[in-house]
Amino acid sequence: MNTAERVWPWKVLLAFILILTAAGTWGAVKKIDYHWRWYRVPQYFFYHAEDAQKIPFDGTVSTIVTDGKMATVTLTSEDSQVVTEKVETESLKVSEGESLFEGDTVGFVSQWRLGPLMNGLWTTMWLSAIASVFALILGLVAGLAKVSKNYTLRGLAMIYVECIRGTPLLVQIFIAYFFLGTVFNLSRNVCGVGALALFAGAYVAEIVRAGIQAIPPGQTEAARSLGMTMPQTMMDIILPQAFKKILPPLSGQFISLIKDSSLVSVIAITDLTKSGREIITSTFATFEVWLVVAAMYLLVTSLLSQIVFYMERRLAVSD
Amino acid sequence: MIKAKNVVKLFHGHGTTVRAVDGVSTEVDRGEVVVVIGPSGSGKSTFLRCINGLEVFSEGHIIIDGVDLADKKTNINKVRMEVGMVFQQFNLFPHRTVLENLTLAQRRVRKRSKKVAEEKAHALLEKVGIPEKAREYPSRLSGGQQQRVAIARALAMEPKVMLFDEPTSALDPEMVGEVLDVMKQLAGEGMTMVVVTHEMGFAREVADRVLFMDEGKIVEVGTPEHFFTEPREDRTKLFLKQVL
Ligand SMILES: Nc1ncnc2c1ncn2[C@@H]1O[C@H](COP(=O)(O)OP(=O)(O)OP(=O)(O)O)[C@@H](O)[C@H]1O
Ligand SMILES: [Mg+2]
Repeated sequence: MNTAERVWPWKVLLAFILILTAAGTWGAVKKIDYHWRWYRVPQYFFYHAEDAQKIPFDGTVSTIVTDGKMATVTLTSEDSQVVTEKVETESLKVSEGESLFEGDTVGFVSQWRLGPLMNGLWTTMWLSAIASVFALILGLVAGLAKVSKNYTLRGLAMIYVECIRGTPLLVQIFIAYFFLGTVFNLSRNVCGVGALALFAGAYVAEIVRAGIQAIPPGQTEAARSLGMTMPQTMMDIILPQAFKKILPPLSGQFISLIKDSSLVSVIAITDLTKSGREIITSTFATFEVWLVVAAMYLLVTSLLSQIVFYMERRLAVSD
Repeated sequence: MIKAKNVVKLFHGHGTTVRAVDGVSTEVDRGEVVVVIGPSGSGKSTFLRCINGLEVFSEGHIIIDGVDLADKKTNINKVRMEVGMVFQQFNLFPHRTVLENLTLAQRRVRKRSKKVAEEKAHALLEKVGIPEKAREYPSRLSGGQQQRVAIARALAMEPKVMLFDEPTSALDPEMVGEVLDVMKQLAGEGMTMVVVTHEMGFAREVADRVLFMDEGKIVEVGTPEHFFTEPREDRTKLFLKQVL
């Protein structure tokens, strides 16, 4: 086909537009005379920490055994209590026979630690993961309630979905934290996860409902005509097929959840976004940090997209 | 085996009520093959679906093997185990292999072990002539093969009665024969069958009795010979002229 020949001019155009955008941005930044400090960023991922090793009681250094880079210091107190501390040989601050007091530093141990960006990313991920699980459960229950024959169940599900979808997530988070959190004495993490789960659950419910209704009624009839009960029909016939259909919108919803989780930073949960804000207050590397934070969100969300892509391919075997 | 007494099924639409089945009474004996014919919208499917409780009828009684469906205490799932149904659109479970289509209800409803269910399934696939398709997904099968799987799936529950709702209407003409052959074989083995179909050849060959339905009512009942040689009612004559 000749479409192959026709694609390259558009590729060139795309590259051209991207370069133009980058150049334009760069030029604009130049104008305001921003001082880039990219070198400051890596330490917020990982940093090298030196931890002072302090002794718990007064005593005398009885032995120091050096084993290459590390040294083991043994301390004996007057009432014959013994404690050993492992420190780096180079950082050793005491010698054998020296008497020390409680809280004195024997030496240092240095190690790599996760910086605030990594900690924030971790918080964002577990927050989103737990919220997703609850959103899925909630959405499944509410979605099933929406297609149920029972008026009360349908009504409850409808009220839930409409209330959540008709109000901003930010306001819901405030209500969860300042109202429900205060009344029921809940921690900020519980409020944050709860608000996100309730929010996403309402959208999942709509997706589930649409998925179930997209399965031809003949499927239910065939299953019921074989004597299967309604719950068995749901579990074995309808939901597996519906799941396959709703996987794309469902994954979109969970990607949204990851992004929306940035809003919990307003109730002082130190997620990726809040970490970014905190770093900026101490470094003023505003541009770098926000760009890095955005890139980290993008990384997580595209990873999720990839996973879903592979799941879809695997589920496609019966097509 | 099946006793229908004055069955009425109403559908309530927007301000209108359709009498889809309007006072149908009939009996189907054990081992009998009854073919139901009639124009589109005459209530054939609705009546058939009432027999296995897919539609809840509004009035009357349907008694299957002594169990009255109109009785509130009747467990419809128990009845359905004994009444197999084959649909026009096959309705195979597309996310399950052919084998799983045949074993799922056996295991869930009849509580058979996987081994027993699979043996049964393989035997039935052999019977309907497609033993080699056990591991395939339904989408890989032709229409005729799918319908034969659907028949096998219903038979796997060892029903006492089989209902067929236009089982060949969705098939390409060249595949109709293979499905009818399976049904003829089944009839020959003494299965009690109620078949809604436009296949007059099938009716002539295997039906013990033919019911002609129109506007929710049974208009004429008789042997196939009766219908092909000396139909009594004008509506029957008109209908037969159109389909033959
Ligand atoms: N679920 C339903 N809701 C409302 N009306 C219905 C429903 N199912 C069937 N009907 C109506 O009941 C009447 C009988 O329909 P039915 O499907 O039983 O006819 P049929 O004889 O099987 O026709 P066909 O040969 O087209 O399958 C029709 O008028 C139809 O419109
Ligand atoms: Mg019909």
